[in-house]
Amino acid sequence: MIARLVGILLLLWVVSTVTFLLMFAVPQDPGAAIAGPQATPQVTENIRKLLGLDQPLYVQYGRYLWRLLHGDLGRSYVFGRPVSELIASHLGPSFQLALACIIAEAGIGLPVGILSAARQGTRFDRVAMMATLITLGLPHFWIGLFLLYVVGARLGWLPIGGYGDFRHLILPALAVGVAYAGWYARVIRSTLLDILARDYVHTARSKGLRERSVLVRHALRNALIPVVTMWGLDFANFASGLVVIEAVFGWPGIGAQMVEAVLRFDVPLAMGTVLVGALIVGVVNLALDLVYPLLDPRLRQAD
Amino acid sequence: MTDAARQSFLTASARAWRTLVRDRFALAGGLGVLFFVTLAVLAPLVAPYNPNFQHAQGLSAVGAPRAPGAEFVAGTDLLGRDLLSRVIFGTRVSLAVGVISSVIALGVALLIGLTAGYFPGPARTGLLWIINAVLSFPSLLLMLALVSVLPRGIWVVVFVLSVFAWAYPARVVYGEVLSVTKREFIDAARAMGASSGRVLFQHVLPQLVPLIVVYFTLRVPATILQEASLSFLGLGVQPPTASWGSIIYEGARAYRSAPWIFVIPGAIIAGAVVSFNLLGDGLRDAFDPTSSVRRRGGP
Repeated sequence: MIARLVGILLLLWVVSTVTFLLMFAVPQDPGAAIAGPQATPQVTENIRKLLGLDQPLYVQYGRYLWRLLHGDLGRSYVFGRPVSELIASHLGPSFQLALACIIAEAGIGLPVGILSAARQGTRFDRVAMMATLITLGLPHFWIGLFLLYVVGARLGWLPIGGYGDFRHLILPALAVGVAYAGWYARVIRSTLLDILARDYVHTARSKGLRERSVLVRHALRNALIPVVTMWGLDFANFASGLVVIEAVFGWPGIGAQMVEAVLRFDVPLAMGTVLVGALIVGVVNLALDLVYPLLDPRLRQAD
Repeated sequence: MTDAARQSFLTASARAWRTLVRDRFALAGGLGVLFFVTLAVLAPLVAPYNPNFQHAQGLSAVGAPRAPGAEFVAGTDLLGRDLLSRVIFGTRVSLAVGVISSVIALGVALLIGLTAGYFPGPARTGLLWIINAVLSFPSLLLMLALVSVLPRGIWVVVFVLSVFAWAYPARVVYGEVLSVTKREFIDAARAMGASSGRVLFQHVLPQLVPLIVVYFTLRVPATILQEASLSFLGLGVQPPTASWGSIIYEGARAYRSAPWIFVIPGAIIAGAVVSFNLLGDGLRDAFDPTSSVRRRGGP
């Protein structure tokens, strides 16, 4: 456990260093960027001094790390407000969207995969597996655009992007859901088929249990374990920024914020979003490690 | 390779080939891949127009793009360029990016996986540490950070798409090398006095060929999708060069009035990705007679 925590801290340190060096390598001078094109050299120079940009690289890096340890991610060049504050205001929408997306992908993928396994080799199975093959081949942002066009623009049933009530969540979540449901369908199907061939399933059947009971009580519970891993990893990745989907739907999440920061050379904000993203991924993975033994008793004995 | 080893390798390959051509999904995938590669190579001969030429009749009187019709089969884009020609030339860019970055990623993966697998000690420990570190990176975030500081263009896209992609196959290669080196024929080669280099290249490497071929075939479509994402954010291939993703990016602005601009390249991407995946799955089944899960239930 402690090793895992140290691992996350180490990862955060590496990521912060990499992003610091990358942003330092940006050809554009942030002092000039903040001052604007009309500023005199004196003004630009003063801004550089104010931000500590006139200091050598290692001094800037040291200061950056020191502030980081105190939870201070610096001040955005563009917005002039603390980065932590700016990111915090985007975290809510990001978590909302991430949650909606993992519900959508599992909500579509699992029923399809379970039915496919139960009716293995039938026409339903073949059509479903063909469909997952095609949706997995489509870019998720393309599915987003397509839904925007058909459901939003042509049918006019749902808002065409932006942030707001529940209805604004449906299309982006559906886009991600359709795009990745195929993985869930395939994983649950092949895990189920694997399990259905095991001895304890034969035992359950020979006890005279009905097929539905065998499938649900004995096979499905075990088959869900790998799905939980996928769920956790997806949630971590989605919450750390669904960059492209947020761009398509104008969703004010941390991914859209990062792209904007990158395009506007807002160094502290960009570094902050990458770091917070890495932190989210690390923490969720840690939480998964804790949840696992609760789900799978076989792992408890290993400790 | 010894004669016996070569013979068994050839037998295995022949068996794999027979399984492959009997698998109609893999065959369809292979034909699809062949189609897209031919399209990319013959682009100047196949495309009806210059992909970057802005046709005067390509825009209506009010400057709107033309819908698919007799003159422009797939319609025109927002600048009056022929969409079909752009998609055909975009095939070159998208496939090249996919193939080249997969080759780079797998080359690095082979080098590191072989070294880590064959030479125990500090080299192995260090390499495994690096592999695991790269695997734990939030790679999409760092890819964006990289793209933001580098000049935009095709080669930067290739670099960014391979810079994190080698870690996973490197770990797979490492595991495979560990298991191959435990087999008797490696001991036999060593006992006959073969050098490390000879054992590695003559005996271990050939055993990795199926793994590499399968991974490559499955890596290319993943890279094609990533390139499309980068280009869609405006951070990938730059105008006027067309890639499938950049055409969607340009078409997204007019998704309501000119939906064909984003719909057509998206369908083409799906066609290419599905072809590569079918071929890759088929190759995996063909090389590994025990993995028959897929054949039992369709694709």
